[in-house]
Amino acid sequence: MKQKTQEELIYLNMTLKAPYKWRTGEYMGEFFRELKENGVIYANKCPTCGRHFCLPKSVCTRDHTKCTERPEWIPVGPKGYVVTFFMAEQSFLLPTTGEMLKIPFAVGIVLLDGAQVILQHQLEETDPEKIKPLMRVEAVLKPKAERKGNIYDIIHFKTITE
Amino acid sequence: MAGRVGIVAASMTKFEAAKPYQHLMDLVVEVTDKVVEAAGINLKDDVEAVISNSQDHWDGRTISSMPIPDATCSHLKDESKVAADGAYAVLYGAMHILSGDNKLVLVVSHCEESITDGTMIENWSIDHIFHRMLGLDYTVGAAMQARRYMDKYKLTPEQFAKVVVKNKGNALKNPLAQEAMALTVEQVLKSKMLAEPITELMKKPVSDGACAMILANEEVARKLTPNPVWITGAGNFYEAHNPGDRDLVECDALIKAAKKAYKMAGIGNPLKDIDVVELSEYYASQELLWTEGLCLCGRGEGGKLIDSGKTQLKGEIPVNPSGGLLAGIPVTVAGMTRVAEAVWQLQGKAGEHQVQGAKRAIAHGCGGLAGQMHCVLVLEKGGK
Amino acid sequence: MSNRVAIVGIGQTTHSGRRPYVNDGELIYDAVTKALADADLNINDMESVMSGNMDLFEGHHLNDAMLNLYSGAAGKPGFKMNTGGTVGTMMVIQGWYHVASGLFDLVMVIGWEKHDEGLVTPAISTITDPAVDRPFLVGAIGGLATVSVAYMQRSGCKLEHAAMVRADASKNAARNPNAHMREIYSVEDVMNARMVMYPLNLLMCCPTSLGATALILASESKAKKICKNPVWMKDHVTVHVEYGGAQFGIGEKRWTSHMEAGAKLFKRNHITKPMVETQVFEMYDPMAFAIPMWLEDFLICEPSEGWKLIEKGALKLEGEYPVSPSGGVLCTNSIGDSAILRVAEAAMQVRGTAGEHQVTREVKQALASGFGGSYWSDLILLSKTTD
Repeated sequence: MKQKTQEELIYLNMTLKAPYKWRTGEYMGEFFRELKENGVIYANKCPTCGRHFCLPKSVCTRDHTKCTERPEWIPVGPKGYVVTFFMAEQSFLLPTTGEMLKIPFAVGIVLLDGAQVILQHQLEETDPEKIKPLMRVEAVLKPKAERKGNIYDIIHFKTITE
Repeated sequence: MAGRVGIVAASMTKFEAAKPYQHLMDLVVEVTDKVVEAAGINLKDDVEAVISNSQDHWDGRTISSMPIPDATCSHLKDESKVAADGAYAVLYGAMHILSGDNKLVLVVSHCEESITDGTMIENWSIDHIFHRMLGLDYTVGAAMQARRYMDKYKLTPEQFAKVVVKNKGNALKNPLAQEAMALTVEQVLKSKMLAEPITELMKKPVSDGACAMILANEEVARKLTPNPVWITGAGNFYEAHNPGDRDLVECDALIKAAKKAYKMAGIGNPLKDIDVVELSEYYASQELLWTEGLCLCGRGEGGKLIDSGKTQLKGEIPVNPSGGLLAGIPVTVAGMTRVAEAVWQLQGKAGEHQVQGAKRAIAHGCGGLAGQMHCVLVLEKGGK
Repeated sequence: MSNRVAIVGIGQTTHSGRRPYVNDGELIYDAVTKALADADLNINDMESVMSGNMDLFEGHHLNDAMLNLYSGAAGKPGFKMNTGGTVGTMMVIQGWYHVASGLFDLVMVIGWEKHDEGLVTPAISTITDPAVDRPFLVGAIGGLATVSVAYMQRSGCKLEHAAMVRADASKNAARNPNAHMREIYSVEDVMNARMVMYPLNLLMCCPTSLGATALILASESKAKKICKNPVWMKDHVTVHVEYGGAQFGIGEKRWTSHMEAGAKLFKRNHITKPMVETQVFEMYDPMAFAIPMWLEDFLICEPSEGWKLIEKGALKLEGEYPVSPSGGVLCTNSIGDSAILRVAEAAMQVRGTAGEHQVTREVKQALASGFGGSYWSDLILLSKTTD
C-alpha cells in the first residue's frame, strides 16, 4: 500500500493535445483537386533543371525556381518502381489519429514514371522477401465517390508484373 | 576577427490574421526572395549559411526547420535553427560573421499563429509540476504583471490604453501592418476584458507572417550597399522561470541586457543617444515597462513617459513608429521584425513612419511568461 | 585575436531507460555539476549557459527557459537552438560561435533528453509534412530502415554484418559505466532479436534512453589559463539537405550530407588519410548499418568497404580505426543528448580519460558526428594540440 502511494506521488500524467489547421499551399490544393476529381496524379516541373516533382513542390530545392505555374504540371504514374522500402512489424502510436498502427505496414519509396523525385506511400505487399529493388508498382485509388482530396485517396501501391 | 557586422537588407511579408493560402514554406520563400533582391545578391552562390528561426510547437512539427533548406536553396549548406525570439536569431547570425566563419548569411523567421491555439502552446511553456495546471498563459502572466505595475508604481489602465492608441495609430502609416486603427483611450478600455486589466485591444492580435535579413562582414556589406546598418551592441539575459522567484515589474533581465548592449555600443545616455526604438510589446502594459528596462526613463516612470508624448512618432524618442506588435506580428518572428524595422529606419526606408535623421536604434525581442528572457540589439547607420 | 575554442569541462549523467525519481531539471543539474567539477569551476564563472533538446518529446515548449534554475542559465545570457537529432552537435557548435565571435570567453552547453516522459516514435513522425508524408513515416526507424535496405542493395552488406556491428558495440558499452544498454550480445543473439522494421530488428535500432551531457567551452587565452588538458575544437561542419535527403541518387550521382561534410572537413584540414590522421571516431550511429554505411559516406573508406572493415574487426576498440568505442548511439540514445555525448566521448578519448573504454591507439585527433533531421549531418574535429 505504501509502495503504491509512493509511486503515484512521483508521477504526473498529462495528455497534451492541440488542434492544428495546417496550410497545404495552393499548389498542393491543385494536386489534391486533380487527384479527387479526375483520379490523376500530377507532378510539377522546375523550368530550370527540368525535374518533375511528385509530390509537387512550390520551389525547386536546387535552383530556387518557382514551379507552381501551369502548364508546367504533367500527369505521372500511376505506375512506377520501388526504390527502397521499410516494413513495420511492431505497432506504434500514430500522431495524427491517436490510434495504433496496423501491422504489418510496408511503406515504399516510390518513383512514379515521369517523375524524378520520390514520394512515400503504403505498399500492398507486406512480405519483405517479395519486395525487390526496381519492383514495379501501381497506385490504387479509392473510387471517386469516396475520394476526399487528401493523400489517402491513394489507398496503396500494388505490385504489378511488367 | 571580421570587423563589424552589417545588416545589408531586410524583408517582411504583410502580416495578416490568417494566411490560408500559404504553406509555411511559401512564407519563407517570399521573404527570402524579397531580401535577396533587396540586397542585390545571388541566393545560391552568395549565401553561405542560413539561420532559421521558428518554434516546433507553433508549427506542429518537430524540427520545424525541415522545409527550410528547400525554401532557401540551401541543399548541402550550413543551416541551423534558433528556437527563441527572432532577435536572438539575428544575434546568432552576427556570431557567424564575427567568428570569421562566414562572410554573408541569411537569417529567416516564420510563424503562422492562426494554425493552432496559442493559449495551449503558451501553457506548455509553463513548468508542468506546479504551474501548468493553473492554466497560466501569457495573457494571465501579463495581467499579473500589469496589476503589479499598477500597485507598485501607480500606473493606470488609461496609460496602457495610450500605448494601443499610439501603436495602432502609427500602423496607419505602415502598409505591412495587419491592424491599423484610429482609436480612443475609451475604446481600448471598453474592449472585451481578457484578464483584468488587460482588455482585448491591449493584447497583440493573432498573426501570420515571416521576416528575413541578410548579414555580412564589413567588407562585403560596404560593397553591397551604401547604407549598411552596423550591429554595435548586443545583450541577452534570462530571468528565473518560477513567477514566485521574480518580481514581474523588476525586469532585471532586460535591464542587464540593455546595459550590456549600451556599454558595447558606447551609449552613455540612451534617451539622448538613441533616435528610435522598436520593442516587443505583446501587451500594451509591457511597452511602458520595457521603456524603463531600456533605461529610457527611470524605474516606475513608464506611465509618465507615455503621458509626456516623447514616444509618439514625432516625439523625442519614438517608440514603435511601425506600430509594434500591437499592429499584428506573430510570436518568434516578433524580435526579428523589430530589427528589420530599425534597419529600415536607419536606411531611410521606413516610408510614412520614417523618423527623420535616425542614426541609432534599439531593437528588442523577448520571450516567455511576462518577458522571462530579453535580447537587446543596438544598431547604427552606416551610410552618410 | 585568436578564435580558437577548447573544451575544458565534460560532464555526463549515467543513461538508462527509466529514471522516475529524477525530473528533467534534476537530470540537467546532474550533468552541469559534473562538468563544473571536472573543470574545477563554479556556475557563476559561466558567461552563458545554453541548453537544447528536440522538442515534442517531453511535452514542454521553451524548456530552456523553463528549466533554467537547474541548468544555471537563470540570470545569465543564453538561448535555445534545436535541429532534431543533430541538436547535440548543434549546441557544441552554438557554444563555439559564442566564443569564436569574441563575445564570450567561457560558456556551457547542455544537451539532454528524458524519453521516459513521452512517446518518441509518434513525436518523430511529426517531422514530416502533415499533408503528404505524415501517415507514411513511422518515426526515425522508418527512414533509417529505408536507407539500410538501400545500402544492402548497393554494397553487398548482409544482415550478419549489422549483427556484428551490434555485438561489437555491446562489448564497448559493457566497458562504459555511463552507457544505457550494457549487456553483451553475440552475433547470434542479435540475429535472433525480434524484428521491428525490416531490416532492423530490436537490437539493430538504438534504444530510447534518458540522460544529459554538459560541456564547458573556453577561448584560447582562457583555456590556457584554467585548463591543464584542453581539447581543441579544430573544425566543425554542418550540412543540411533538401527534404528527403537526396539519399538514393535517383537520376544523379548520389551525394549526401555525410559526403559533403566529410569532403569539406578533410579538405579544409588537409586530411587525406582519415583513418591514419584521426585515430578514433565517435559516430552518431542510430542503427547498426550506420557504421559501415556512413564510414563510406563520410569518405573515410571506399564504397562497399565499410562492411568489409567490420568483418576484419578493424573498427573494434582495439582495432585499426575504432568507431564509437563508448558503445555509440546504438547502446545509448537520449536524442537531445546523443550528439553532444559523441563530442564528450571523443574529447575523453583525446584526453586519455575514457577509462576502460579508452582505445588502444594513441589519440591525437578525433572525429565526432551528429545526425538527424532530413538526413542532416554535423562533423566535428577535435585535437590534442592547437596546430
